[in-house]
Amino acid sequence: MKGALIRLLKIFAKQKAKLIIICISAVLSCATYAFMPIFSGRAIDGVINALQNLDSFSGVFDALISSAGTSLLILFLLGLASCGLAYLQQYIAASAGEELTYELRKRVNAKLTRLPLRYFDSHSTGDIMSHVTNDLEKVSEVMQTGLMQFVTSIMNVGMMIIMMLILNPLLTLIALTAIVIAAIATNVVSKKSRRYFAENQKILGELSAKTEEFYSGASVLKVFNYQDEAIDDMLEVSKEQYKTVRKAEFFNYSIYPFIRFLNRLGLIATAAVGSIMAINGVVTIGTVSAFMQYVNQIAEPIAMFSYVINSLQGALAGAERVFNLLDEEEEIPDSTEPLPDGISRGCVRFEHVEFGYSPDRPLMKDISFEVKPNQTAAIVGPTGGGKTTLVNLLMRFYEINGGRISIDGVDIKRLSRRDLRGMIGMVLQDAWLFGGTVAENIAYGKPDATMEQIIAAAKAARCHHFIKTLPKGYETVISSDNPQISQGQMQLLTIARAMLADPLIMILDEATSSVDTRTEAEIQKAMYAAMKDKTSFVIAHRLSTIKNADLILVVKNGDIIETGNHKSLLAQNGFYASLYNSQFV
Amino acid sequence: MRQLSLFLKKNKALWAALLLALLLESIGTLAIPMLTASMIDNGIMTSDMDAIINIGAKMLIISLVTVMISLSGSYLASEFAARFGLGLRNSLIRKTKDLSLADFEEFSTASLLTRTTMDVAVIQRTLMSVLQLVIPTPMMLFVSIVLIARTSVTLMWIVLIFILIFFGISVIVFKKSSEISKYIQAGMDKINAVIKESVAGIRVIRAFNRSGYENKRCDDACRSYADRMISLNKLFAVLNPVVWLIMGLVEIAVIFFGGREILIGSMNVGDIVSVTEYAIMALAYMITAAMMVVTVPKMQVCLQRIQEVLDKRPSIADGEADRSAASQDKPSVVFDDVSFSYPGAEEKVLSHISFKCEAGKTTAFIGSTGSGKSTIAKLILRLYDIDSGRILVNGRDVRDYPQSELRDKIGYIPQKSFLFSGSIADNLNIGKPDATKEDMLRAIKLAQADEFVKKLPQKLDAPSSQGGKNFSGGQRQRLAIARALIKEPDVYVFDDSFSALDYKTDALLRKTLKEEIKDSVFIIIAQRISTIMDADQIVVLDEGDIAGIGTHERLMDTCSVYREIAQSQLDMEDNL
Repeated sequence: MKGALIRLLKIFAKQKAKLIIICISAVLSCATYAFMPIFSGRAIDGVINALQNLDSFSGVFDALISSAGTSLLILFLLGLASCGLAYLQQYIAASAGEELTYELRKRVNAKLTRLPLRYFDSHSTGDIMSHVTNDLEKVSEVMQTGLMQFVTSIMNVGMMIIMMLILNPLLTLIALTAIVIAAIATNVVSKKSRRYFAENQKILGELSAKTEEFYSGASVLKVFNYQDEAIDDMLEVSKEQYKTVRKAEFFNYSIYPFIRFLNRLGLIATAAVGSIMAINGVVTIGTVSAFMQYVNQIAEPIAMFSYVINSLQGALAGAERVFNLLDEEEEIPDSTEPLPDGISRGCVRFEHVEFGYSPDRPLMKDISFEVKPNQTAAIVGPTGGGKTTLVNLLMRFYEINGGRISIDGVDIKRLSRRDLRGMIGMVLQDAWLFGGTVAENIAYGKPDATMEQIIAAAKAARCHHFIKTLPKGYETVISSDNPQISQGQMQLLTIARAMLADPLIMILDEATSSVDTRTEAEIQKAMYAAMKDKTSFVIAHRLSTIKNADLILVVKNGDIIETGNHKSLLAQNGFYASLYNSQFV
Repeated sequence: MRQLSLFLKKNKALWAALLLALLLESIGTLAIPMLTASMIDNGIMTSDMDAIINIGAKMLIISLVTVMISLSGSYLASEFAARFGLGLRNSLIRKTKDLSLADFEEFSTASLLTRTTMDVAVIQRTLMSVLQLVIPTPMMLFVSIVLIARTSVTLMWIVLIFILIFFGISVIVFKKSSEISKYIQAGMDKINAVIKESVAGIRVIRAFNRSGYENKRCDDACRSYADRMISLNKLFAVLNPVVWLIMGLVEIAVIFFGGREILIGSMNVGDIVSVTEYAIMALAYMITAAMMVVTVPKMQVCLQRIQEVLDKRPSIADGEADRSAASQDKPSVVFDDVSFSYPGAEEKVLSHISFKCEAGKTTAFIGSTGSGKSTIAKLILRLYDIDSGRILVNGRDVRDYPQSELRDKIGYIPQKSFLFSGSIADNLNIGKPDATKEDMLRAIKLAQADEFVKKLPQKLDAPSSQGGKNFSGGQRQRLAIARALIKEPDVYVFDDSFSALDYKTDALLRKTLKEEIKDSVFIIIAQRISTIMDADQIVVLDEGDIAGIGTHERLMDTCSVYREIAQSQLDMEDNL
């Protein structure tokens, strides 16, 4: 936690000029502010003085101005200065905290491009998003309100205590004792309130899970006439949340009456003792009045001290999570060698490749095969068997633990990732489209493509026709969340996208579970077109594809257990043969 | 807001008690400066030690009473906010019973979820802060103005002017800020969207070497968000210094003009202290209230969203219960010249469809996506109402049934099988609440699920996670089929339920059903030709029209659409 704060401050220190102005104006504004009660006290004493010597003045206003005028003028100037300085401080702080947050967001964004894919496997999209949004929002809060207010209120309290000590040490001691007791009591209450708030969050989570199930299963509940029972269940959970939210909110707000009460104790003690001192002539009425103002102003910051520290800690936890992300291990840096000559045919070779997603759980122990230029390799195996692992290795999304993968004899590690991936076109099952127009999506791999090239690719991938039927044709805006086009059409677009990039090697995924027969046939034709005259890898489900493949790689549990062609594998009578028999016969 | 006024009407006692507590609290709070003044005037000025102790004791007692009142106020407010939220949420939950699936789709499940949980939580939180921090402000203002006026009318006017100035400034600041706030929310949504894309699409981005481009998009979104935040912060930077300045000015004015009144003898010295204190308290309450008022529009939006659901007129109304007619008829499903279009859609999904499904026979529906085949299932269940024609189940129009009675007759197995969290037995109980263990075992065996259920250590009591995600697609589908089988309905509707099964299980399941259940209507909606080849009657749908009805052999001869579908599938499966 401390480490996170120090790192945060180090990054913050980059905005040196702003910080210096903020500090100076904060110190000056606090100082001027701390002097104000003294002069208001003096002004009151002046009024009393005027009252006692009214006869020696020519008129009421004359008396007021000559006995309290100077104090009031100074009070006015102090108020003006304090206000101006505070504004300057807050105005500059307004951008300082946000700039810091922006800097961190930028670093996270850049980091995301350098993290290995392994990281994304083990962290959900929602988690990563919440680092960028929620966690950093909290950091911004720490800097903006938390740290700034915290530091100024410490300064305020410190200076006011000095003022009080100068005015009267004994009275200060009495007031501070009352305030410290108040602070301790507040701490006790706020601990309780935090506990109930955590409980409330938990119940809210349960309610959320239950409600989600209730709504997503609504059609089943309706069809089975089971709604009444389900509703009763829901009302039960709902009532639980009512009870906890009531408790949590009550404890949250009961802090304030407490603070106010304990402050008042300080105030009453100050008033009573001060009054007795005033009767004895130790202090003036103005001093008592000034004292009461001080007590009023420092009591709340002191009482809330632990409360504020707690919320700062919560926010720092957010910063810590962000720093953890920034500290994650990055991809191995790219090779700096120039692109070796002679990669033009697309001969892919795996030699004694070893791999596992985590080092302690090896999947592939010794894999070797070769796909010659323009050949097709079909990757076959049960669902969840790790068919995409091969693709991941070829694209160098993951590093192999041993052996070598080469294209036309060049180890892919000698290529930069950029060059390697430029040679390979990929159409994955999760046909991912980006927010943007249809044309932009097709040209995603080749942003400088002309409209003619885009249309040609679309025609080749058999999606020109349906694009034409969209309301704005190629300019229709699509997004991943709100697709105007079907799953099958999305797949056609991703094929067009890969074809436009015109790679040396093509990787395709045949899975078309949610697509109707006709579209499926279209996709099939588009895929054949994309594979033409290219070395291709197909994650295959269709018998015809598998049978026509030059090489079949049978994958099970992440490992390649059999290689060969349809005939030789059937003759082997191994896993492929049993798979073939159970699936297709 | 209508819900709120309804709630107020229903909970008058609670509301009245709360208001009383808040009023007493503000009086108790303001009594302290009044006593301070009295301490100065009656104690210090007259050197009366007893009076000081006396007044000090009074202050102590009043503070003690006030804190009790405040605490009970907080309690009443928390009860108020929590209970209001409970009422809203429960109305939403109950409302779902009346809503049809079309209504559900209109709102979307995700949005209904947010409305039931997050929106209600926001309302509860906001309501609490409004009750505790906003509602007391006008009371504080009123009481302090009255108290000041009692001392001096001149001072009252001075304080009132400063309060109005502050009020004006805050109105301007908050009005401007609400404009910026709108953009800020949009900016945050934008950051969320781009980050989501660049994380979820990471493989594609890297495969196409577009990391740099995506990175820039994220940076741009963050930059414009930061700029807006900065302008909002700068706007708010005005607020605190201005409050300080106004507080200082009030003090100066009170000392000066109050001093004049003291000198002419119409006011006491202590009154300067108390009037200053009243004014500062009033301003402090106003600034907290102003901070809280910003959250109110958000609460209004949440309330509005909930009201929308509650106001939704269910698109399907129950028919009259009429027990005499229905039960004697043999199970059957008849579509008689049915046309249907989804609410809001321009084109008809089904136009003038007629067919008849008889007991003991299997009727299959096939067609490409958008042909309307899944709609057939939804119409039999009366999840939607048709535009014209009639649908008869067991000889009676579906609109003449109470919905629950109609659905009792139908066993429906959806395309995406959904299991509930609980045990397998709990899920089967949904089909038949009083099912015995034998019933369950039989249904599971019929559904070809007994083999894997028996392998589970807890058998029928094995847990199912939400949605049934701990089972594979095929297992889940078979359990969903068992859930429908245990119901022993008149009509079975398999809505593309076989696609998650492998060919072998698919065939075996259909064979068992045919042998074991003889007097029900079977309706199968499918993609795979092999699933429906041996149906008694196949209905081929093409863009909402019937392209042909008949057996596999007949359709192969007469129906070109059917032939095309069959051809493309049989090609893929080659030598089958």
